[in-house]
Amino acid sequence: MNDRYGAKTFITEIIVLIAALLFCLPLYFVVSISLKPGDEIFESALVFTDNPQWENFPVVWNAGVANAFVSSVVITVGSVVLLVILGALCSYVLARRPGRLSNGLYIMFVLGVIIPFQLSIVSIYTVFQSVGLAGNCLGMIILWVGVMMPMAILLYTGFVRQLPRDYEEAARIDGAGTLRIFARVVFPLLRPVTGSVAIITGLFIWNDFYASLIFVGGSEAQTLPVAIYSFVGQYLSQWNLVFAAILVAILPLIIFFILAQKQMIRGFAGGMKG
Amino acid sequence: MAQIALNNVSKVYKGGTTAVDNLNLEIEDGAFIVLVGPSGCGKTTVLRMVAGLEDITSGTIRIGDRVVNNIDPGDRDIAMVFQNYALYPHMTVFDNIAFPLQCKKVPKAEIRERVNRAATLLGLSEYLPRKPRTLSGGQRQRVAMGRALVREARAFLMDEPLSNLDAKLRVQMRSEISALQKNLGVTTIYVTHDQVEAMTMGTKIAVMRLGVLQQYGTPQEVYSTPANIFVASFIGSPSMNFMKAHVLRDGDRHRLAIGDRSLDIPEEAIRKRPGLTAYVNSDIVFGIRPEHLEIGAPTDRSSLEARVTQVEMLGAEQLVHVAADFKPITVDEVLGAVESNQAVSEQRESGRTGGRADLVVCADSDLAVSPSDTVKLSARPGCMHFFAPDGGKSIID
Repeated sequence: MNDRYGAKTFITEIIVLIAALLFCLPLYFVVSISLKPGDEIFESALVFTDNPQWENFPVVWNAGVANAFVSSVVITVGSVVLLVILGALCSYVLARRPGRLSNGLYIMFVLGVIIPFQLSIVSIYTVFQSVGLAGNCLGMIILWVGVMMPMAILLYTGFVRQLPRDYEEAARIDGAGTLRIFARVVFPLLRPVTGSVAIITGLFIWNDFYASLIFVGGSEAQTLPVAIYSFVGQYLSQWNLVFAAILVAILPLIIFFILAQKQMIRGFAGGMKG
Repeated sequence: MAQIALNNVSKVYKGGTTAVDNLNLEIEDGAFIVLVGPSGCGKTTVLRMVAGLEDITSGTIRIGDRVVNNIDPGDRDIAMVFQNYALYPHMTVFDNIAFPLQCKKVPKAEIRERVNRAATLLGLSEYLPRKPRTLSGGQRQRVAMGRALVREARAFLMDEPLSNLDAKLRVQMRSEISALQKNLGVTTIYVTHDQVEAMTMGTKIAVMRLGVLQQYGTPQEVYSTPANIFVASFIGSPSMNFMKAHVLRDGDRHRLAIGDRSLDIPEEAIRKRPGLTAYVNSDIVFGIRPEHLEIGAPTDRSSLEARVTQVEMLGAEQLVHVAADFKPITVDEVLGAVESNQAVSEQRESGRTGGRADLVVCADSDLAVSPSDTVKLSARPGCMHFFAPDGGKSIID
């Protein structure tokens, strides 16, 4: 019985621990530098400061990060909510109504995952500008719902196809209509994959710099990555403030991941417990 | 409560597979009928067509006075219990049972009252706030029953509801479902592949094979006067023994020549099955159930001789496997169906041992027999079955 925890397990644990520490190192740098006074940054980059500057955070918060934070939250939450509702509804139909039309549409969505959206960014921007969707949150939400929908459909459709039909058939016999079956029976069963869709699309949207710079850069609706970028130019010599802004930007993601990690793993595993 | 009638109902899937072929079935109001047959015989398809979950290729289905062919499942006023119960895993037991009533927009107070009444009836009251995954198999089965009976539907459809339970619980639930159905008097169609369930629960049994109804009658009728060799082999456990036999006439008496031995056919049997006289000097298939074979022949003239190969003691009785020196015959051979269902093939597999037929005798547990003994077998008069060698139809008229 003593063999269960031997030298081999101990060495494996040490290796895994070192790997985990390596992955945490960038986060350590962000936290460490964000709290340093300006003159300490280049003197001892790896050492945690004895004199943490908590006021760095209110400084960056009031210097435009607050606005960008609100825009990022509105755009990310708005997009993810729409992606979840529309993606789940659409996938339910694609998975449960087999036929040429469904298969064709599904292939189109899969192609959407493969083809980079950057290819069509110029034409999208032209259309958005002409209809007043450039430079505001609504435009970004519409853009992201379109761009990320193929990923949502791919994940949802695969999951719905695995769901036993008995639940829906039981609900049909119980007298529920299609919409009620979806809302009361199917959608709650999609919870694990909904977690995956929310995390994957949410992370992508929250972190995106490229599309945000083009569509909302310099506007009232600019998002955190764009705001931090503009910050770099303004405070070129004050890396502690830049890192404080970065920490503000990644903190919600870390909290979200901690709260939703179980769902995420279950969603990726593709299983479902009754 | 309602009468259910299926008239010339067929189901042909895309690709041409016929799942149900021209089925006619009249189910009286309040009856408990059991659809039984081996896997793939079309029994679940019939149930799903009645439920409205499967379209009908041709024919009509009536529930009460209404033809329901084109009516949605939810509007047919039927309740169904699924094989895996199909309890909504994210809802509590209360919500699972209440769901059909919520769909009908029944007032909340009434829902609570009806759910509580059903829960009390099924002994589920203390489990109402719990999720299905925290319940045992038997409790889940009861919740599924609760969801069906809270609706006060006109008919219950049950698709192998006991197949996921262990043997002991199955026996218990079997009698609970029967008692519940008797109390409520709701017309019920119950699907199973287990012939013991069929015999013990149904007021009538419909035996199906390859999408075709083989026989529809009371359990006793199906057991004692099977319509054909398939029904004879499927109903009864252990399965009926079959032998190739030649009908002989000796003055007024009729005899069956089986191998180099013979058995008297009692006059009573000839009276019951006058059609047998047409087979004099012809081959037939003789069938006898293990419980109707007796060890220790009454006369030397009318008995079969066989050697004991194996004895299985069951406590109250024993199954004596014997080998006799005459040509074996299988149900598949008689039906001429190579594609005949697997279950029956497996059941009869033991009967195919070269030029030797293996029979099973159900004997009293106190009878002293052991392997290698030679025994004489006689058939209980009045319990003999005769089938046409071509197609296996029961010889009656």
